[in-house]
Amino acid sequence: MARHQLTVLYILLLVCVTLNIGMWMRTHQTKAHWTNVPKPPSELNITSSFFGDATLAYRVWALALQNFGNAGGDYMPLKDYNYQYVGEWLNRLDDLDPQSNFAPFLAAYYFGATQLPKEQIPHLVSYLEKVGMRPGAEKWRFLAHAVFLARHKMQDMPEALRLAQKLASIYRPGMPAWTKQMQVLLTNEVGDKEAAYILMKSILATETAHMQSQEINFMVDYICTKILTPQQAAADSLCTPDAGKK
Amino acid sequence: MSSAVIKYILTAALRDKLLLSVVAVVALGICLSLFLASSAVIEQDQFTIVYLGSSLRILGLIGLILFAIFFIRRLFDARDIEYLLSRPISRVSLLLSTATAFTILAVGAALMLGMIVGGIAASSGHATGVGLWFTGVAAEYIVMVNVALFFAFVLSSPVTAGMATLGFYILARMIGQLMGIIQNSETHFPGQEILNQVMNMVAMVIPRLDLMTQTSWLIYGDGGVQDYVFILLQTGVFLGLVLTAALIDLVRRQF
Repeated sequence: MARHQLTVLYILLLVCVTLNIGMWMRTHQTKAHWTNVPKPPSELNITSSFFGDATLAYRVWALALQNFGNAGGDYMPLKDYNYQYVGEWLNRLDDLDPQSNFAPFLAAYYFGATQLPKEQIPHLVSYLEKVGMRPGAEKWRFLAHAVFLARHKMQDMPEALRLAQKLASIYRPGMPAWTKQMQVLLTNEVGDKEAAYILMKSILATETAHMQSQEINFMVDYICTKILTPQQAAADSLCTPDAGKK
Repeated sequence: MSSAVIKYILTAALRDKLLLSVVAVVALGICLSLFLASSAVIEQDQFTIVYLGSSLRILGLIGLILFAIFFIRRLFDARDIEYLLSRPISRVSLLLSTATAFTILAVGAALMLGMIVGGIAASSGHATGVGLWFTGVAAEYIVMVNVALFFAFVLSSPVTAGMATLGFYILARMIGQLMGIIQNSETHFPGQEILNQVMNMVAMVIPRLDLMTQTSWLIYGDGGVQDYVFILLQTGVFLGLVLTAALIDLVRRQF
């Protein structure tokens, strides 16, 4: 009797294993489907998600925002992102931790590199303007970046001039002189890469004391690999192998 | 208070490998925090500190709560409590000794966390708020381990006591937000006034844990003396309430 029961159980085990293999064959090539950037939760929900710990909620959701386009090993181009939601996410994160530079940095250097600047970047510019107008912790450089995005990515000169006026209006001792004269710089006929090079190199020249090493490294890498051609990078002192030792 | 009971509980904590569990959780927390934070484009130090501080704080709290609840329920189920009360020790002394032992464990766990998280924060130049954060974590642990003691005495099932304690913790962390909603709500629904009154009454006996332990102190260090005063005052006031309630239950109980 026991032997008979055991035989039935072995057969049942075999059937179960076969069914599991069948399920695996049906699903093993199915990847996670990217559903675009989700609508951000309300301020209450986003804080509640981590027992009311706003700082933890900020760090978790900010990293999630950075990685939204990485779905199942595939990387989505920024042009496919819903930038209205990206802008809402950035503002929601700003409510959680207005002191951090992580979200403004993502907006300026990561999301700002979209392939559809005229349609998508306006959602970033208003956010960067809000952050850049905030006093303290050298936030003005995000406003300077908003000027660059408006002028050279959106090709919106009136908006760029308006932002440049705002940048000049918050000038205080300790800020580089070029922040006061950005309106003049805007009217110069320079290409977007050249303008980005000037802006980022100016920030690196004066602001490294207020920046983290990762941020400095990111900007140097951006200049050397995204803005300059390999030939230009080879000739630029910033991009030579021993630049970091200076 | 009985030093023998305190020693008995601390020995039980060692025997239950509570210390070893905390070490294992710390190792896991450090690895996961470093791994997750390393993918951030900038501010990796801040990410590491926040992930580490928050995850270890919550995991340490769960460990303490579970130990306290299962220890007390074991006392009842194995009739150890009846044996202890048959000795020359009063019910008041037994409960206060238990609370003292749990408080020692809570401070010990907070100290371990404070040294690890504080060490990592200080090594990356964020040392200013570590003292305040450690005080907050210690106070949070003391409050919650005594809440666990209360529920474990009052509720006979360890699962129910555990759920009640965790529910209390979530409510205590969220009560500031809930009060904000009540005060600033623009929408109205039937029975809202009654609900608001109920929430206001609940809030009177819920400590503001969201103000007592703020992770932002670890990276921005923007707390002050008033925060220390608030933490100590809130802990003292609430401990008085929860221990008195537990005492009433124990004194009225018939064995």
